[in-house]
Amino acid sequence: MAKRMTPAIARFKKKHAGKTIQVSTPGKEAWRRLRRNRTALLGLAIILLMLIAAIFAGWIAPYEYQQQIYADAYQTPNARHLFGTDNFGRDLFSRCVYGARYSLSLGLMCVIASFLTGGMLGVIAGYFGGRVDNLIMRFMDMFQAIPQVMLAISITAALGNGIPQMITAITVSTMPTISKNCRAAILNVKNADYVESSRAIGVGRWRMIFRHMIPNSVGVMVIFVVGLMGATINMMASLSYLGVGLNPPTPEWGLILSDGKGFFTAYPHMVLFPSLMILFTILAFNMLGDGLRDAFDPRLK
Amino acid sequence: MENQDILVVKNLKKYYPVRKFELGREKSFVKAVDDVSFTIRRGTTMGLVGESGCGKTTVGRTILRLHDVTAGQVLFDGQNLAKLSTRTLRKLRPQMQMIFQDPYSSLSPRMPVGEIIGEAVREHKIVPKSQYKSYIARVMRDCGLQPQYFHRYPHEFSGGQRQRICIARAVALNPRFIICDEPVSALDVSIQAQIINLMMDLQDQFGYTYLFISHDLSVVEHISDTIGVMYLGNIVEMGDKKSVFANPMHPYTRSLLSAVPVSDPDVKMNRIILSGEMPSPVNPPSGCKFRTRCPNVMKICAEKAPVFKEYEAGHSVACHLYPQDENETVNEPHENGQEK
Repeated sequence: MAKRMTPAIARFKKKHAGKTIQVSTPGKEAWRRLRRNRTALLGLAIILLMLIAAIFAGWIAPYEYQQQIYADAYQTPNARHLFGTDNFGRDLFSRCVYGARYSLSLGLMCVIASFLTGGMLGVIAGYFGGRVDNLIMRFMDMFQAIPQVMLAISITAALGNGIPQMITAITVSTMPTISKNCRAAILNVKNADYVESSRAIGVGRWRMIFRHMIPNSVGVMVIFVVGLMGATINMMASLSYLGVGLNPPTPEWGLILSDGKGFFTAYPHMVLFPSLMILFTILAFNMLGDGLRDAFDPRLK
Repeated sequence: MENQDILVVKNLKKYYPVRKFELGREKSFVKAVDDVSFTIRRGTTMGLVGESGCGKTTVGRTILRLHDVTAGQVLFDGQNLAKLSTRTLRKLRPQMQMIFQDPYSSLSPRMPVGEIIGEAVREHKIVPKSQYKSYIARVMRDCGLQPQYFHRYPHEFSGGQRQRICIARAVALNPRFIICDEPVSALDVSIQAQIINLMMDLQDQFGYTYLFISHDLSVVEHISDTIGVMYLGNIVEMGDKKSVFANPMHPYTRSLLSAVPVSDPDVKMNRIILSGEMPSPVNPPSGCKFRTRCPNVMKICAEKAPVFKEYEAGHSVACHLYPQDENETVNEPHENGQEK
């Protein structure tokens, strides 16, 4: 079966000798498709903006988030205070910028935590199936029977306010959904021929999960992560708004919103700006999520 | 001591339970493989033919324990694979490999080719680390792939090349026995020939034993030494290639052979056309399973399952057209196996 080199091939080889071959990976393909989707790019841009705000909050924000300037209290948006000030004279723009730091980092932590717990449980349930699957899924059903926000509120009520407590609450309450999604993703690839064929070559159990099954469902999972980021930020804001999330004076968007709600009729800007921050962030994550879905699976469109 | 027979399959059965949400009812089963026995000699190729749904793929997968065995024995070099623990089985995996039907879905789209071929080589430590790269390159060259494709992804290859990758993946482990599950049916004819020839070259070079599953009789005739014909979970005829092709005894084999296209338009084909569909393997017909479609059906066919019996040297058939054994006690266990 040795291939003879025809003159044409020889010429081709000579011409392209020494050039590296462009490797196109599925990831690159997806990025290429994503780049053409304007909505997704807008979402990505907003997220990047928020990310910059979060990282460089110290430089961007003109004031400290807890700094109270009583002389400037109750100011509507102006040149000195872009988003106005609240009843304590705290600069709302600075607070919103610092808020990005909290929302994004806590959101990310929650997503990672729920993937490590719920996601892994789902993967295990999907891979092993049978009794293990049943046990894990019924356990998740138990959690799911309680409305998500209610569950989160009860957990923070039990544990108290604070960052680790809130992460726990959100992680536990999102665990059922995430585990079910991961399980479905694994079931999807479980009977694929390439999984069967790697079983035939004797690939070990964990290697199979981490090298074959998870990489091949990564598209679904990325979409889910991005969607979950939005949902988590929303949930954090809701908890803080209800007074069971973080403690003041933390500049968490939900908390700023909650602080401003008493002055809503006279000073709507106190509510408007934190709301807009929440709105744009969640919107951005959803837009990016939809774009990613289309990019990873062009058949959906 | 070297055993002549590398693989002995004895009374292999694979039933899949049909899920029915009726409490207290007896479970019914899809009898995908129902009492199949055969032997493959070292270094030879056995062709397994039959129409789709007759259980030939399931035979292949149960032999490798990709699916668990319901009953029966699979002796690979004297070791019963059906009973081995997962751990011991994994150690044995490199010795028996499989090439799948669809070269598009059997390669993970997120792994470069070199990694696909080399993954198990590293896992089973086939070669020392220092020789790994050159070993993979050699295997790729053996299979007609250029080693510089090492970092490319499967979607950049054509069907034939992908099947070469699948073959390379199997061959890289130095197997002794390879199950080829319709390895060429997804490819077009010119590529089929290349792949078949590649497989035969590799067999000459390394002495592999093949179980070649296919529905394409001309391909099977080209590559096989012995042939087994399956119908609805049973082997109905088995024998040397020459003997089966020259003198097909079972009516099913005859009709299959009559359906092979001939390249000479002047030759008149006497096709034996079967009517109807294959019956459901959940509820197979009594007696001979083929009787519902058999052109030579007799009264006895509904009553008794025919005995699988050798009529010529190395050529066995299960059919009532041929004299059945007078010695009834020999038949008994076989019949019971079918009724269950």
